[in-house]
Amino acid sequence: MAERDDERYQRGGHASGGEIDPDAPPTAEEIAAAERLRDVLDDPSGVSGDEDVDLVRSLKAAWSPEPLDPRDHAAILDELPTAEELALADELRQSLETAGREPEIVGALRAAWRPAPIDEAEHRAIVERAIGGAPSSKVVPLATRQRRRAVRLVVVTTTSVLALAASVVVWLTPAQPAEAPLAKARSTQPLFDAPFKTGEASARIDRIVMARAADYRDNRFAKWGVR
Amino acid sequence: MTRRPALGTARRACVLAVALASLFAAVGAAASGCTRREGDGANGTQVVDVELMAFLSEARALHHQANLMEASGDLAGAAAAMERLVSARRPHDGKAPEVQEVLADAYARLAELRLRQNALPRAYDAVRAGLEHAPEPTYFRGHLIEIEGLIEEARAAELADAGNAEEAARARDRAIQLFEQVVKIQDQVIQSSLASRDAGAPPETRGR
Repeated sequence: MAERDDERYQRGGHASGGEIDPDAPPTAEEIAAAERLRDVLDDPSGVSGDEDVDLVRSLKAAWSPEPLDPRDHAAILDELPTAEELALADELRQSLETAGREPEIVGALRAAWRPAPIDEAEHRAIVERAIGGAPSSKVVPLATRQRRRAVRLVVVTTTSVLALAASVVVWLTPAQPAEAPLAKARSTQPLFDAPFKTGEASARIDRIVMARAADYRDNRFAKWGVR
Repeated sequence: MTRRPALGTARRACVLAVALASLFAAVGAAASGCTRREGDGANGTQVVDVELMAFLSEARALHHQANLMEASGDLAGAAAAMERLVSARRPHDGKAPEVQEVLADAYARLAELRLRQNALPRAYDAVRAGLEHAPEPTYFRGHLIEIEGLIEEARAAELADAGNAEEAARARDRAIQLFEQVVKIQDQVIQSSLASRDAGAPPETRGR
């Protein structure tokens, strides 16, 4: 632009005064430059590469701002996805569009965002897993139910017979052998080898207590299983 | 759902079997518990247990208490100690031989103490009560009858001192008969003891 000013300065006969004539007609070069600028401004998406054009665009935006192109906005905010993110997004979109088996995360997100009734077969599979694999929709045949009932009858009858036999055994079984050797209460006569004498009553009870204390101690050990 | 008649019958039979089994088991357990209580031996005889030992210990304590009172001349106190013993609670309905014999011996000592206090009728009552606990010929029965003879002997002397010669003579004769009875009983005891020893039984069998 400084060069053009210099040219107009020279063409306007300003050799004497050295001033630019503002009413001087535009040169062909100025007209061509004006047309080029107009074309560039009409196509805001175009890439000019010219500093003058960029300056004019900036001035225009400052004078009369317009909404930014979304891509330009994203580029400004540095939010454009990476190539990997774009690839994953494309894969997700394809998964959502296709009717085949979708990834589990996709199903979970879809169900969370917009729940819908699940497939009947899938519902049945879930129920079967929950109740231990038993087929919930199967109807047990009558023969099977009768067979099960017969098995129950056999089990209960066998248990009853065993209980009856056990009760008879309890009834008839004699005392445990471990109880047999316990010292029994008995006469203390064998503790004395002579007729009693007057005044020896406490000596007799001493002897009786000592003898039976030994028996009692043995009985306790026997009951504890110590011999 | 309709049930087959045969299946219903089987079910009822099963329920009946269960009920019968439960009944038999309950009765069996109860009978077993009744026949084998704590303290009972294999054939239902009483074993030496804590209740018996408690009674014997109580008897020993009262005898030694009576010793101390007797040594200090307190015959009434000593007799009171024996009266506590013969009135004490008896384990297992008092049927254990040890209990019976300890009671017989306590009555014998009580009779002796009353005799020394010259309370002849009460001494005689103690002897009669003691003999109920020693029906068999043992040292215990022989000792009681010996004290009864001493009582009759004291009564004869008392009657003689009172000038009742005829009653005194009868009492003396009765004392002689009682002492003769004592000799027979002790002879029986000794014979029985020797027979057991000859048969190989230890002096104090454990009764097992």
